[in-house]
Amino acid sequence: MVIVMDKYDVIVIGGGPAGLAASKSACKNNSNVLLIEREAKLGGILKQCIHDGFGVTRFKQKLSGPEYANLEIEQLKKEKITISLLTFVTKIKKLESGFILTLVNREGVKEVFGKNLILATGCRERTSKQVFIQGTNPAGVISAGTAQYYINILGKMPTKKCVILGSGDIGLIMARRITLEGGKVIGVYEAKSTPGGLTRNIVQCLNDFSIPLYLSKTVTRVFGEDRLEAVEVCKVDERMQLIADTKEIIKCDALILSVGLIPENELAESIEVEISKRTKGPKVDQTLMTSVDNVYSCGNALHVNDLADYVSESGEIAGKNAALNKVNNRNLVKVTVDDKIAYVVPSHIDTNKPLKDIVFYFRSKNVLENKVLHICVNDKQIYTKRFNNIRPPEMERVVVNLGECEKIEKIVFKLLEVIK
Amino acid sequence: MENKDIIRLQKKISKLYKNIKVSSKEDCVVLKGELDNWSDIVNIGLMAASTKKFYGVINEIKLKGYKEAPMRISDIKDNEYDGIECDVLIVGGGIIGSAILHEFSKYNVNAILIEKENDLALQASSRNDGCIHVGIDLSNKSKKWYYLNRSLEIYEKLANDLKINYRKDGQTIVFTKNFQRLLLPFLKIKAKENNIKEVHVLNKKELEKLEPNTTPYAKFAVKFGNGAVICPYNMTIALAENAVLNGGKVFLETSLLDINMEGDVIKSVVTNRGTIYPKVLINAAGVFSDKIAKMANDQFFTIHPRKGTNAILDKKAKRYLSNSSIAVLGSSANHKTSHSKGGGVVPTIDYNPLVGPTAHETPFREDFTTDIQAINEVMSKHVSSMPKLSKNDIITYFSGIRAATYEEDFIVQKGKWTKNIVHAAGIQSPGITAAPAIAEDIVKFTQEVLNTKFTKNPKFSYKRGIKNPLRELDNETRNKYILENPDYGQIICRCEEISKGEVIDALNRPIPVNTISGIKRRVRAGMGRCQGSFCEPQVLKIISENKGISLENVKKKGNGKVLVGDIKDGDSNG
Amino acid sequence: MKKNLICIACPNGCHLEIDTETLDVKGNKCIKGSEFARIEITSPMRSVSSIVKTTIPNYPVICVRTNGEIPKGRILDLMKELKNIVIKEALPIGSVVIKNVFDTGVDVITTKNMD
Repeated sequence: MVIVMDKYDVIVIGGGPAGLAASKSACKNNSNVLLIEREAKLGGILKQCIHDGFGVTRFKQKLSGPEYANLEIEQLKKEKITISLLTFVTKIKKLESGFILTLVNREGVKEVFGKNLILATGCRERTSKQVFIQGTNPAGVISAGTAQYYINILGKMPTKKCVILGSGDIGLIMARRITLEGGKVIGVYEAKSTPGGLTRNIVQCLNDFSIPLYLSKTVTRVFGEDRLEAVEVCKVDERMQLIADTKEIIKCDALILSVGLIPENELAESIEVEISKRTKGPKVDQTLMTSVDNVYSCGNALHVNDLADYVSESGEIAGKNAALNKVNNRNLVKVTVDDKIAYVVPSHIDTNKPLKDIVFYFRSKNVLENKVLHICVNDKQIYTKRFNNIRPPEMERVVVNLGECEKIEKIVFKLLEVIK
Repeated sequence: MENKDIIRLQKKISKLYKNIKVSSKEDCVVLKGELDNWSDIVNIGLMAASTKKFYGVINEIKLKGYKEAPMRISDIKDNEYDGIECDVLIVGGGIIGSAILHEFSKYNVNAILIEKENDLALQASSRNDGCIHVGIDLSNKSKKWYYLNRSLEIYEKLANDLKINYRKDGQTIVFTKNFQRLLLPFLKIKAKENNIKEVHVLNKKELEKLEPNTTPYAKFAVKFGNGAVICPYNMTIALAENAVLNGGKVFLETSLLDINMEGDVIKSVVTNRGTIYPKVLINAAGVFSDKIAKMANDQFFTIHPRKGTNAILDKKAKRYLSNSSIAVLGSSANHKTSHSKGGGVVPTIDYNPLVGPTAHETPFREDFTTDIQAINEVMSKHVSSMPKLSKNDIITYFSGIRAATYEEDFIVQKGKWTKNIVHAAGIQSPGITAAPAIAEDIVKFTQEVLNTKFTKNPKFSYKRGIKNPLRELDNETRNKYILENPDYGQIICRCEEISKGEVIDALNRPIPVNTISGIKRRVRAGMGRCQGSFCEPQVLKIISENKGISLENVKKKGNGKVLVGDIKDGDSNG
Repeated sequence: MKKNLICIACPNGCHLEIDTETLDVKGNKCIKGSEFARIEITSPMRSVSSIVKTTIPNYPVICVRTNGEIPKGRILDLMKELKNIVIKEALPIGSVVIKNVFDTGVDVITTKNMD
């Protein structure tokens, strides 16, 4: 029995900035595209990121998240893309010829077929339990993104007086938001010895409002049965071990957690996409194709980004390549890194695919000064770039031409001292 | 002149501890004094119980410097239930109280259950590993075994009737030393004595086939095929909801504050919502069951709370963990008396692996806090059976308090002195398993107290009026439900795939719930890997809309509201 | 006197060094950096994003921002102004909510459609 279902060249899962860019790019490259989004509106997390700083490179403007999303959505609506909102992908089945997706929405359950998939599923926040905060389980312990939703979307305050754990961007942004909307931030506590977010955010969100930043301190315990009443903070050493006798109790009604993002790859794993332990996202080649043919990954699902502009760029790369709908023999060479680099994306190069102008993103493991990035192919240096300052919270981007390289068997990224 | 058992015990205790007075109350032993170490107080109680010469242990030894935290009770204070009469008043809305109410609803009995919290199953009944045990570790002379054994005959059918999933994964004990084979004949005898069916001895190869992730040090194993898992809090809720549909009543946020006696008869029960007049009081009050007994002049036992902590892992981790409830022999409970079987790695009914529990004596009856030592303890204990066990897979953890008596056994009986009380007290593991049979006997004892025979409720049926989770359905059936109600197609919890319609259904069940954690327990929204980061605001909105509560008044649990007010209400500072 | 500060004009976050007397700037990758440093030590300016209440269904609040920078010292005054605003019609993105706030020439505009 033949079951009639809608067929698409490219199905994009996720309508945030990555998926929006991927859909447009695939469509522009002559693909029949279906964009699936589980919320009622497109835009993803940008809908609640009301602060500015978005689009500096992409649109040459300093926009808020919703405005950035709006521009992308307006552009998208000009293309002939099928959009399915409030739709959830419950299952993906891999066939020889493509993928069958089971979709659930208010109209019912249906199956659709796509030859290529782009996973733009974003990320989730690390929870208090994942950083082993002990004690009770009261109301008032929430992640920064959830606090952001309550304030910026529902117009309600989740706190009058809070402690923020984690100096990543979301924590810093929320320190400012809570302060501006009438709440008090007692302090931002960071377990590492260096702050986690963009430097500009330390200035604009903490220094501007005299909100103290406490490094090498973490929250270990919460108190309060039904609603938070206090937290216990403790000093930690360089290896994140608690230092004895440094406990301090701080009274507050909320603990806002900004302790890291985790790429969402449940759907990816269900079809056996290999996930990198370093990035927590899929291993991909320069076209952003994963270990499964014709499945692409982009945006925060691929690796946690700092800038929406780069997220859109990765979506475009994925979309353009998914539209090619080519199946080829892949010859994957792993991109290795030295011990100063946390990770590089893409993690692999397919030597049978175009090697010109490959965009690499990477992060250092620690705060470094005066370093030179060396990229060596087959032990021959083919690219260098100098970095005066390089920090883990600020991802770097380089564009490298590997087109001149013959028979690539080894690619290494190294961060070396500047030779004076 | 005290009897010789009392004198002997006094001598024994006086050798070890100062100023402890041992006396008798009829055939019970009473311990009085003051010590500065809780474990000593527990030790003395256990010493008294282990003589097996006393009907019960009343341990009134005080802990120096310890002021007992007030029992958690609701803020509500009114006369909503003042003057109500009933045949039976059940105190406690855990699985025991709910099973008892359910059993009474099969008869023409006017039964009311009062629960002090704002939901059922908030204490031990939601803070355990959900195991249906086979009882290999129990003495077949104990009440624990007696009620477990009877319950096992009816449990699976009862769960099915109540639409509660029941999965027989089995329970596996792994042995890592060859000499332990000498234990096998004794184990087989014990299994026979305890009426345990489905006992399989597995050699290394067979074990590896069934449990591919087990430790390479395993030499052989014993698997009890009838070991199962359920969701203990949804079983509690199912029992109570079905009871209510069959005529039973549940009053939440209603605490027993005092009991009015007339001689050896309970006349009335004072609650924060008025005075209730039952013919019979059923004591199913968990960690407070000894206090209820005391208020009813019927205390012949004492609860010594014992805390247990469990860790819950990501469902994905199940791939490299166990298929049955597994533990290495000897990796279990770490405390001397070894009254807790010690759990292991349990694939829970929803497929999240659970690791635990610990067992630590505590004077605090409602201390559900966790600490990092307990987490580390359970993980390091059970990595011995499952080498791939990793802290990185933990998504949450919780603690519970066991209501343990010094005899370490159930108390299921009519009152000793008081005429119209029936106790289902001191229920610790295997309480979840034993609940149905305990309930049957409580009804039997109540008939004896009332000197009557209950007539059957002709309208009794196992209706639940709820749907199975839609994610478990086939596409066609799911599609049909969505066509009837589009809210079933709007997924609001993406970790557990729960729809808006299912949340609304849960808000409109026979026993009211309007908290975020109440919804969480019923439909699992908030139990996934993101632990509510995405769905808490959605559930909050749905509760607000559906119950006509403002967003600021929606509670997460108890009296804990999620939001504190509007934006721009406080003083902006800088 | 030399002062160190970090430029916040764009995500690069260049580490700047400015001479408070000569107003000479070092460390900037673009002209915005030197402009920023000079203004930051004399009269620091900031762009502000916030939310205002509305009576529009599905939009309990709408996000707004200044379409330029205002003196840092006036941020809290702006928040007080925004507290009193209630949007009563569904405005398109970019609508002016406060024109020429505090006479700075900067408007407060909405940053989302309300459809």
